[in-house]
Amino acid sequence: MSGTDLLELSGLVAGYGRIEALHGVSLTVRAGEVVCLIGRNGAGKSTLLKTVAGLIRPTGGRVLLRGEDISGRPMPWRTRAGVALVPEGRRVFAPISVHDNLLLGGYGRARKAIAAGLDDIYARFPRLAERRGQPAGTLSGGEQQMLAIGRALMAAPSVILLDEPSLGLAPRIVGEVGDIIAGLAGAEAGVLLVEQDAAVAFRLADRGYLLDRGHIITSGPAATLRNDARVRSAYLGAIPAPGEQHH
Amino acid sequence: MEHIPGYVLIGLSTGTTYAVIGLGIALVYQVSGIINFAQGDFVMLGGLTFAFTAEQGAHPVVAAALALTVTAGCGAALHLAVLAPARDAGHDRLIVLTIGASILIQGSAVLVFGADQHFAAPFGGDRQFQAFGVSISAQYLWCAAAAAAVAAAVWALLSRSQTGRAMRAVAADRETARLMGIAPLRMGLIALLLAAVLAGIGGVVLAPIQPPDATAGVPLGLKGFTAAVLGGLTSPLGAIAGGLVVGVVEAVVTGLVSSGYRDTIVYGLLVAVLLVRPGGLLIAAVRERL
Ligand SMILES: Nc1ncnc2c1ncn2[C@@H]1O[C@H](COP(=O)(O)OP(=O)(O)OP(=O)(O)O)[C@@H](O)[C@H]1O
Ligand SMILES: [Mg+2]
Repeated sequence: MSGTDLLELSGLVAGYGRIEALHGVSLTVRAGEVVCLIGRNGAGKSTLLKTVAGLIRPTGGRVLLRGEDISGRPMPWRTRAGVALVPEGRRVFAPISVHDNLLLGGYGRARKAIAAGLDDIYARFPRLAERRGQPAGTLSGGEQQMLAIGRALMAAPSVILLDEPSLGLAPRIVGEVGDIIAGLAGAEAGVLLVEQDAAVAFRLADRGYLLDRGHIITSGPAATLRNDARVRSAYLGAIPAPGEQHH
Repeated sequence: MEHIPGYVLIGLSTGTTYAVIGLGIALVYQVSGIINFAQGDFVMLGGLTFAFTAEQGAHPVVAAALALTVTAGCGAALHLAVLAPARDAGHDRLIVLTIGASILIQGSAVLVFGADQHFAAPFGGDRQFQAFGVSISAQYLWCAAAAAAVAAAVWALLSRSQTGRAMRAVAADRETARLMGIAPLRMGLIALLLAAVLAGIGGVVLAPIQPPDATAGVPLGLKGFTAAVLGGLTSPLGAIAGGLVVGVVEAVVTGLVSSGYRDTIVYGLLVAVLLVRPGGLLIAAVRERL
């Protein structure tokens, strides 16, 4: 594989006890890219992200971060090495203040790095700065998603895994969150995005993979994928025609 | 009836110990989901080690330091040797394990210290003070000061340090805490260590008033548990308030009715709260104030 691969999965097998949910999945994410992972409910998308993050231990295959096999590494190590997951359903720490949620995102980092990270997040998300003292559970859905993303960014990640960030958000907020995600991929960082909203997924992604019952069945540039009949059926016909804008 | 203020004062004095025990139980429950029924035995162990060592002629400060070391070691051992290896057993079985640990600690204490009570001198000499027509040992001021210091330290830890934040994160959402790179088991160890040290402190300051023997821990643990339940089990502040309430109820019943009904009333309170408001009585009031 080329030297610029940030994240590479090869033949990944993982599941829950006896239930195998991924049957040998291979994909790559390069720095600067937003890669989307598409699939019906139950296809194994969340399982894949959790396995990369370290919540699930794979039973086969490898997870490579900048060429190094990290499959056996514990989660604190992965967090420090730059893997961050924004989980399905946001999962902010509801009773804990916005500010402390962000500080927790920087857990294990040096005091100075945390302070610099906080300044950056508050500059990026002024709404979080205004609400820094209130319990995260009292934020609106969109604000909670911003907090979940901000919390992940506090770890200064290079691989950002997002699990259905637009789920349950009002259409206007979906656009806003989409803009945030578009800004996450950079010179050092790549994004692996699981997204049910086809319009959001194809607006943001450079490339994509279609996951079906634990197998990758097709992949390619976003522009090609969006016209693929199998991709369309995975989204149950919810894809707007090419050129149509999402608001 | 004119004696009630005096009884309340006595109750608040004894309640400080229950508050410290309840605080430890609430901390551990919050972080690990385990109700530690050995918490009272940590108090016994701290008090007994302190009194026994002081009887042998050790300086009280040395004896206290030794007592805290022993309880901390015992807390760490309980976590590392029993609770962490059995973590997949489910919370109800882990609770049974803490009851087993309680019996084991009592047995070991009998072997080491014998079955008799041991005596320690009050810290500032044997003085009493009078208020509202009752006479109270000045040692209770030490108990109150220890409880206040411990509560302030726990509050500072939980709200001001990254470790304390991590403990609250584990309590709020274990899996997501792991995503942050937090190790929940390690937080559980810290919580139990902290709870053991708190209990040890409670045992040391209580020893001159209630000379401990190996069986002293169980009733203290149950009253601390009642305190924690009154406070909603997961609230450190609620547990402290709960401890004071238990102390006052106990003292007023003893004063107005008879000391024979004291424990019946306290445990009756526990059962009533568990039946009526399993979420705790005090936590709602405390939350509203925050
Ligand atoms: N905790 C679990 N225990 C057992 N099986 C699970 C668990 N979580 C998911 N599964 C199973 O693993 C498979 C993949 O689930 P996964 O959550 O990865 O799907 P998904 O693609 O994220 O779906 P969705 O779009 O609904 O979020 C499913 O068959 C699911 O039933
Ligand atoms: Mg999912």
